[in-house]
Amino acid sequence: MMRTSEGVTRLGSGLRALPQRLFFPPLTGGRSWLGKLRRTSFWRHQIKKRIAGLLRLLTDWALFILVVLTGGLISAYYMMDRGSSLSTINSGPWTMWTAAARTDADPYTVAHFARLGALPLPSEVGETWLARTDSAGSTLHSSCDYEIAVRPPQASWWSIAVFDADGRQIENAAGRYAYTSETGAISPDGRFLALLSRSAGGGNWLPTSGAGNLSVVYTLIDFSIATGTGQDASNLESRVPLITVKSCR
Amino acid sequence: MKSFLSRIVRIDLRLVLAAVFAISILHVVTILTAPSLAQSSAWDRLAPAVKPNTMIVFAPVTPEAQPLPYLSADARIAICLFDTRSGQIKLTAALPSPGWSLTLYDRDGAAIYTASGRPDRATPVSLLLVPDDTRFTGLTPEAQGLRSPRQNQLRVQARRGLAVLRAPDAGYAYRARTEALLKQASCQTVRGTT
Repeated sequence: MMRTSEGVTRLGSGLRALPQRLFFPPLTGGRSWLGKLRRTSFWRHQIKKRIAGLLRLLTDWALFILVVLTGGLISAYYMMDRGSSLSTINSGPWTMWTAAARTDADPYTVAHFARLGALPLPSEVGETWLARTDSAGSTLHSSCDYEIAVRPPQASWWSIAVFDADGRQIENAAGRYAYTSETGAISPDGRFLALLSRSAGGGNWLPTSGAGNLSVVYTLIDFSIATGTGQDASNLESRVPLITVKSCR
Repeated sequence: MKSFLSRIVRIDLRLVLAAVFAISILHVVTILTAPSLAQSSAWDRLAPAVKPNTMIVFAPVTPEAQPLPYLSADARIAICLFDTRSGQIKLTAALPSPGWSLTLYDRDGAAIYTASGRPDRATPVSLLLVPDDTRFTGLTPEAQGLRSPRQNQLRVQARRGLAVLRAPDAGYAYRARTEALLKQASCQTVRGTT
């Protein structure tokens, strides 16, 4: 009889709807503590499951947002700072923004110079080359001495200037910051040779003091292109200076 | 390691495509908004320090007096912040030799006009900067049946910007001459004329 009654009770609870079972549990007599415990662990499990799911969702979204932010901002920064073949041309360590200060400049060039805060010479007038490494690819640093050698076109105005990594002039007692085609001493073989060093040197010495990382700017206004009397402008290797490290401390 | 690889393999391709798409959008938005968000553009640096419509010869560039990054000591500069909202601007300068240049930049740093010195002869430059809108500023002398007093002037449409005259450093002996030539350049408002 008892067994039958229990069987009916179980059958009855099994047939009840789920909300009813959750919110109005059947009376279990003397085993109520076990039921409570089961119900508690059931809810705890459910909550844990929900929290785990939520955390997984949040983690996935956080990861997605992190990947998007990192990828978007780093790629934008790189294209603004270093450029690509879309906006620059390279020759050895030298980079030139081909559409500098032009009204039809691409967005990368516009962003680059806006962020830099510089007013470049328009690329129709002259070429402005920037180097942050030597010709071997090592970062220019004031702890090393470098030789810069170039054979500028005959009918041209040019200058070579040294800055720190942020484009600031380097403080030095000699007051030497740049050489131009009118102030630099040319070697008998027609080359211009400059020495970048923190120690005083002869010839066209450009002091680097303790500036840390360096950048060198080579500006060239070539009239021989207009007159058709100059060297081949497409040969970029011979057009830009060679930067070779002489010694490091 | 195996479970890690299997998890990577299970990465949803749609999610990857969505990430690439979102990265592209962020990249483009960043590049396009960078010029307007830049706090230290050349205009922002120079505009507070320069009186409008006046050609100002800057001191030789030194580490203590370097108005812009990568502005080299290889040249002296004179700058005029022009603003045609108050009237037309007459700009004159002489470019005596190679290396000299006169460039008009708009607020975004794009050169709207440029002229450079030639090796064979001096280049005098005379510009009339007019507003870039369709505002009526009076009849031209030609429309009034008069001969224009500015036959050799070039009209450049511009609103606000910077006129930068660059003079290359030719060495200590020439510095006084260079400064005198820079001081001869003028930038002034023309009132009551077209």
